[in-house]
Amino acid sequence: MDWAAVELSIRLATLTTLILLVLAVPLAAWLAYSRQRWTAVIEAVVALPLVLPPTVLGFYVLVALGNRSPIGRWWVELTGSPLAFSFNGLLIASVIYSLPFAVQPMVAAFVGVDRRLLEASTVLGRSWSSTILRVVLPLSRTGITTAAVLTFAHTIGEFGVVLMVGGNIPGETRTIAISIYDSVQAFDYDTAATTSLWLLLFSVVVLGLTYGLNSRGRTIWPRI
Amino acid sequence: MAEDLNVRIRHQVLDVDLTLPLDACAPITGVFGPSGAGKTTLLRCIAGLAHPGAGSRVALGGEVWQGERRAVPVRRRGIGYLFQDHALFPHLSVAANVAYGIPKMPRSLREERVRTALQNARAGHLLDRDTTSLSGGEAQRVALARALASAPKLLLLDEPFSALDAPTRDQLRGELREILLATGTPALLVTHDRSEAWALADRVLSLADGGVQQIGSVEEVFNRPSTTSAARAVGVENIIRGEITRRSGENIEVRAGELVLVTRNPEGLEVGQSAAVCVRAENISLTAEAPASAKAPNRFTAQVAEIRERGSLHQIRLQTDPVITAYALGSGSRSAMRPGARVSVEVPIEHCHTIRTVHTERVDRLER
Repeated sequence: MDWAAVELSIRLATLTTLILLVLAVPLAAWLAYSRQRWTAVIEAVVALPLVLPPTVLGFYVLVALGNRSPIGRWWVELTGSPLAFSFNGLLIASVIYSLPFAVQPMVAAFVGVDRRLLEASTVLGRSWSSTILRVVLPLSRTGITTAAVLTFAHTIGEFGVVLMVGGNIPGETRTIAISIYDSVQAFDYDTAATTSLWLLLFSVVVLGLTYGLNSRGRTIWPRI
Repeated sequence: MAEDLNVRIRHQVLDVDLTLPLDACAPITGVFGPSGAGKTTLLRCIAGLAHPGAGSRVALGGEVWQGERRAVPVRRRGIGYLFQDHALFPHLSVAANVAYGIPKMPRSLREERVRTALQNARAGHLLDRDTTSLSGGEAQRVALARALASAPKLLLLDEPFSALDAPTRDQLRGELREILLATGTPALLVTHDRSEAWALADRVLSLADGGVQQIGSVEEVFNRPSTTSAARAVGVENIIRGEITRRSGENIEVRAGELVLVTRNPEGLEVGQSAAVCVRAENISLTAEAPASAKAPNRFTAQVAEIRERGSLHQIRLQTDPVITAYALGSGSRSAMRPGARVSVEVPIEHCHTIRTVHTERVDRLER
């Protein structure tokens, strides 16, 4: 069992989830509550990771973060170390890769908030951001939990993007999924089986807990 | 404070120019009209929740809310808005709901304000309650307290009682007037209920077909509509169009189809002019017996064409040309009022309101 990979995956998933929760709220609110020419375009861009193969996404991120790109050079100047094949690069890739999993449940939840409540808040003198914070977020708890869990689980399970952007550096970019792949390549089926089982159980428990908590207050089909 | 509310709206469904005096002593202006007339749109445009269109203007006193170039954001207008369905925040307590509009006030002052606002709305006992456990009437009281807590310059009420049961509605109506008088808050009250306008409003603005038809006292707007459109806007059941055939002293005789109605003539109309006689259905009296003197003015017999039951009142349509609509008490008249029965009709002269009209084929067809 590759505990370093487990630790790395959990660290990556936690940070990705935290960053995405902060980024996705204003983005989802904008998508849910404005009707401009740009809305559809941004919505499509956000959904891209759902349709693109991870390798394609990973390739573009790698090019964008590489030492020849302005972003890559700027980062090297700032920190002295390259972005590609590093944990930070991996984090950026994960954030982009999981964006739709954070944004879409939030948009769905925000759209479901009674429009009249938003109007009431505005009439009572509250700004856009204050209304999002005081009315929309508390009433969208289910959607936000779903967004957080999906993001976390999706990051734990990502493989293609990590391989493209992160490579396979133990303790730096070797996540659980990569570790399992390595074990299989090395015909170490025992380790692969243990790690896989661990990942499977972890996923079932986390998802089960979330859906259990979220099912409160749900409408139940009337029974005879 | 007697500021004017100036409104010019060029909205898709509403074209309005009006100036309303907002008087703390006569605070309530009723906005009356059939559904689809643009009542709610008017309120939303004033609040800034809907865009009033290019070239529009909304100003309260010297404060321009919506001008040519710029608009004051909704949150800076200092208005109170009461929605049809209270729109309380379900995740906040009653106290937090009422305090929502005054977050910057120091805490002790805010708590005091919340308590006063709730007491003013006769909802002091609800302070510690959970919002989701409130009944419809209680919720609307809390919503009123929430709107009043920030001491709005103008209160906009969008059919606030329409979702309530009749006894609660009557009680709240009476209290609302007292509260607004006590706090001196001018208000615009949208309603399609005539009794609500009578009970609450100091003046009424009738809206129909996306335009203002008349502004005046409640009595004036409902009993003396200025045009036939204004009469339709306030729901006058009988608008009988005809021609003046005789003038005798103070009265004139209007002939319409086979009817001849005698009415007063305060506008000094002349023989040959077109006129419309407006009579509320409730003012027409029907009796089963044949009239003693059939030749008295505005008395005639007619056949009942159709009866529509409306609770204790029956709406009765008479087979006259043009058709006349009247009401009869359901219980007493059941035997006499049957389709096909002959009844004696009296249209009291003092309840006939005559409007001068321009009689053309086109107008006639449009208004049918």
